[in-house]
Amino acid sequence: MLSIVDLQARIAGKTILNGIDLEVRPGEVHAIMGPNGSGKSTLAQVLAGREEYEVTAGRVDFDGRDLLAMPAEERARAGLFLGFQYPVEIPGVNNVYLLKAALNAKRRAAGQPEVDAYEFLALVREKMRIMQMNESFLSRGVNEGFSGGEKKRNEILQMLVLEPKLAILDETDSGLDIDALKVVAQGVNTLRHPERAVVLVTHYQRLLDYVVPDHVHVLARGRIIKSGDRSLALELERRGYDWLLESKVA
Amino acid sequence: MSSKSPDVEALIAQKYRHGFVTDIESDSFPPGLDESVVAAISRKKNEPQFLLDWRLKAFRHWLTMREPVWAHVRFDPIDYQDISYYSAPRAKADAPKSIDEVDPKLLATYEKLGIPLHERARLAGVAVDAVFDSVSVATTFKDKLAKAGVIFCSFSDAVRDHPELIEQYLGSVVPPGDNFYAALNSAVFSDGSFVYVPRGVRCPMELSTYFRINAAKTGQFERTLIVAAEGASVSYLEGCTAPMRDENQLHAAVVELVALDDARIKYSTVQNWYPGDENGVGGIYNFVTKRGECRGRNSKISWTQVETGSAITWKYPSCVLRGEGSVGEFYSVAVTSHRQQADTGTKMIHIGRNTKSTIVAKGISAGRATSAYRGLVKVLPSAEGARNFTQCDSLLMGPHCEAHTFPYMEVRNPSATVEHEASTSKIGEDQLFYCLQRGISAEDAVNMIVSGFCKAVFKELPMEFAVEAQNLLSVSLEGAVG
Amino acid sequence: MSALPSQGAGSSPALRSLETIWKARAADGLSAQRAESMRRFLALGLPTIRDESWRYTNLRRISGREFVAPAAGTEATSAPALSAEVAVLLEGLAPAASFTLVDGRPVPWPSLDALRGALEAASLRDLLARHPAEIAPALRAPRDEDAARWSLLNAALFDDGLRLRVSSPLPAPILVLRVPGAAGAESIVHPRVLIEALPGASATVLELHVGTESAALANSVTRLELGRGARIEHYRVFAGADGAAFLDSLDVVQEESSECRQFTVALGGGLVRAHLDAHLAGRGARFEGHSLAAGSGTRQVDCVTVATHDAPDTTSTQTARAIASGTSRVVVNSKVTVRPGAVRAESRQSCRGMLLSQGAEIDARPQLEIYADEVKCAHGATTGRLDPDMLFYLLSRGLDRATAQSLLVFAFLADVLIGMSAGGTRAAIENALIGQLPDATTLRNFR
Repeated sequence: MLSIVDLQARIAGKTILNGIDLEVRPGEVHAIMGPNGSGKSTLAQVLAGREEYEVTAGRVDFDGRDLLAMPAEERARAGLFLGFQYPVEIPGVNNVYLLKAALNAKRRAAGQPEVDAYEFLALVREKMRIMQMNESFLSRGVNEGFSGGEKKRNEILQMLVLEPKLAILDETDSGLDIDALKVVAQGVNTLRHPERAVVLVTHYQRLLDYVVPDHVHVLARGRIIKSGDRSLALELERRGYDWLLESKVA
Repeated sequence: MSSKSPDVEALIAQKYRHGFVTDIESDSFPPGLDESVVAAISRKKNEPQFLLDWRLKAFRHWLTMREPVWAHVRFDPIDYQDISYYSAPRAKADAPKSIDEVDPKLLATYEKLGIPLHERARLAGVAVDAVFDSVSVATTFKDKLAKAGVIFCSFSDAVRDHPELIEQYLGSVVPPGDNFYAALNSAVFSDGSFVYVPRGVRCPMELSTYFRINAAKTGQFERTLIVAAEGASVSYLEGCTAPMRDENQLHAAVVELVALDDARIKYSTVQNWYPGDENGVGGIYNFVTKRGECRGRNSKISWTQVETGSAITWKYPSCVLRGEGSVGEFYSVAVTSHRQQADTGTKMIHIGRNTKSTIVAKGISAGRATSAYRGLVKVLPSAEGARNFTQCDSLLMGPHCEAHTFPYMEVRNPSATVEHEASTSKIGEDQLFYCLQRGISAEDAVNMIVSGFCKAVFKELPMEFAVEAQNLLSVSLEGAVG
Repeated sequence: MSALPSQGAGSSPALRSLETIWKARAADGLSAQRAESMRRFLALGLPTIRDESWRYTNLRRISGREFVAPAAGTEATSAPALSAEVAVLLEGLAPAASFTLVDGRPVPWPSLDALRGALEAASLRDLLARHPAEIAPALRAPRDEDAARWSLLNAALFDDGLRLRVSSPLPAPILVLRVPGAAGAESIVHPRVLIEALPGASATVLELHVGTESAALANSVTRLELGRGARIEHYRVFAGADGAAFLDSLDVVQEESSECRQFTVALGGGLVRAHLDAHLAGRGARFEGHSLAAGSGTRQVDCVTVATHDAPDTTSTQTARAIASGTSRVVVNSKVTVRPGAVRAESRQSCRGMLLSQGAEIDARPQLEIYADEVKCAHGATTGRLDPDMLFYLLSRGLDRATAQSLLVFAFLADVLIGMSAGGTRAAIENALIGQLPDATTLRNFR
């Protein structure tokens, strides 16, 4: 589904990604872990099509298409979803209308008819129940005045409504208390499907107790320095990142 | 006014500490201004022809100009024929060769002002050029600076010793016809300071000029030119005082700064000209043009000013941000009390790509004073990615003072970000009360609150000046609240 | 910071022609005041960019023209049909009363019997002939002559207009439609509208200014007088062809505890100079001034808002949102003055501009003049582009770039729109605004 080969990228002249290789198949959940500044968020942003990053080498294949040649909005419509680490507030743009416009943009691109208002509302309400969100979210501006936890729930809600093939969730677990974390994890698990894949970018393995990954990768200095299964995450939890970094340097 | 609130007005009683007169014989021109006076100044200083021509051109242009009226200040018309355009303490021989030959009365004057010029007592780490009325009387640490390649001397010496640098840079930032006062200065300027820091040199010590107006009925028209070549850096300070006199005296200086690629210039001013008495009689009219040009890539010019003196202040230290990635800064505290008037601020002209400017201006008004911030941020179409942040705050102390804010934002590039924030409020009664309740005297409380208000600016001052500025502030507002 | 004081455009053709029009007019019951206004106007001359409040708007094209008074006999007797783009602004509006001024003269309006005891209307021409003393007090010029000189000219030369007197709360808006008539482009008209809200009364008033390229230059003045406790929500909307020019002055005088909410919306025209002078004369008066300027093409919009606090416990808020595309220029001049004695005055100014293209310009001057000490005044002003984080967020959700941009522009303007409490008016203005943005259809769904 997603195949990354030697991806290199920089911003403002500074190289952040130093050659990433990663293969994500349908049905899989991957966790990308790593210390602060290792390039995790950059990878997520580059995959979503953030223009400030300059891709200097490598290629990314998404469902048989050249992902890097597509602008951000096409990637979204092709089924790639980024859950932002810091979802931006957009006062004046209504939350639910954004969701509807996004869903219809995707459906149009897929040659499907747009959903009508009634269907749409029913769909959103159903997903909101999963995310334990109350009605007032519907009438507010996008993320406007949301707490950190509310913003993250809103991201997952959008994901559930848009039903992407590939969801990249950038530190969706950070800043969540344990109850919110469970709700978010439940949202992610709802999306799991043999045809879909999830990439969790995270600093801690806490989320992985609830969303069990098939593969765990450690990113450092813009490279994946180690890959393994679930047990790698537990080892990282126990030992931190230093042992990996040292062995790499040495 | 509630009973817990200190009576602001009754307690304004500023004491001006530098109001004495030095009794010294001086050579002064009689009042009056025409081409022959301009020529006489030039002759007095043995200037080359190009400079005389430059002065005369400026003078002729000045004759066609009118005084600006847009500033929020009021004063009676100045009689430019009633001013003496040159006054110098009479020297025993020609020019003093060393500090030892300087008239002891002059040395005593600077001593009294806290600026010892004698070798042993000198301010550690600060080289001083002392300007008395129209001429520079002494420059310290010249030799040490020369070893580093830094030229620091009086403007007259620079004209004599480095005419090519003067010809190249004089008027290149502030053209002779820039504005009414700059044109007047260009015609009649008598002395001032010159600094040249060559390529790659970090000036080893703080440079400083101390301006003193002494003679009556004279105007002071000094000119400062600072050039920092590629990769050079320099920090420069100026201080100013004048005796207490009932007449108003005009100070119309011009300061030009040039920063080439990667150069840094930090220019700090503690301005404490005589502000006049509590009824607004006397005091200096400080009509000054200060402008720096970041001519080179990644160059930086930073202005910091603490303005407590002068009857009227009219000055806008500005930055022309021409070099790509260049940075302009302006930090200002302007304190006015009694009947002082200040119209001050800055201009940040963004020309180059990715240029950046920061403006922090704090105005404090007490008594019947007027304090206005006037600032222009202009982003030209070429200034891709330009950024400005402006913060200007006014503090009002007493029901009869005025505080005004006149920002101008002119943005012609869609990638630019310009942000301006301003506030005006009375000194916080709840803050004051809190301090009083904790047993702090009203005067100390005001000082604390005002210092806090000005902190963002004071931290930009070199250490030696920060202390002086702080003291000056408390003297200026002494008794402003009790 | 211009170096020279105003020179006036002493001998410009326009000024000479205005003086000729002045000399030719017949005396009436207000001659003494008119003469004084004209004298002051002539002394000031036409504004030039050397005048502080005109530094960003060059009136060369106006001062070079020679004006005549509209020829007699061209007066309309009925309201002309409206163009589609103007009609859209009135969609869904159900006014309690509507008035149409053609070239500044009101055409006969339908009976106001249903509003008896709440609203009275009179043409200024009638009042001038019969009770000039009733209008006289309303001719006082605002304090800032430099900015308000067109208002002085209007006071000297107006010969018609409308006076509306509201004496109790009105259930629906009053519409005042200003359209051009037969007076040609060479003429200048000076319409005046006087709206009085008596103590305790309240009303919503929509003044819609429509211009065309071939229309007479309208030097319009509206004066709102709010009695004790009165409330007015006033809208002035400028719409019309790219060649149209508007010079409009709005003077607001507020007595104790009155509340005025004002919205100025510039949607069309080639030149819009919208002046507003709010005088908070009574204790506890509250004023809100909101402006929304959409610059596109070569349009020049210059909004001047001056709020003068002249009594204790007064509050004012100014909000301006400006967008500029093409080579348009939007100027936001806003000023708060707190006069001595206006203790506990509070004011806030917020001005935000968004430049949408290279070649466009936004100029902002948020000024404060404070002559009292127990005040709280603040202003913030920013100019920038579309926030790249917001744009990316929307793109990453699959929205078209054009839609996302329009949406963000619209959201940027929402701060002003959201405050409009006249539902129909707000919807109409939103519609018209959206119509100027790319991908209008998707955007309409967003509301």
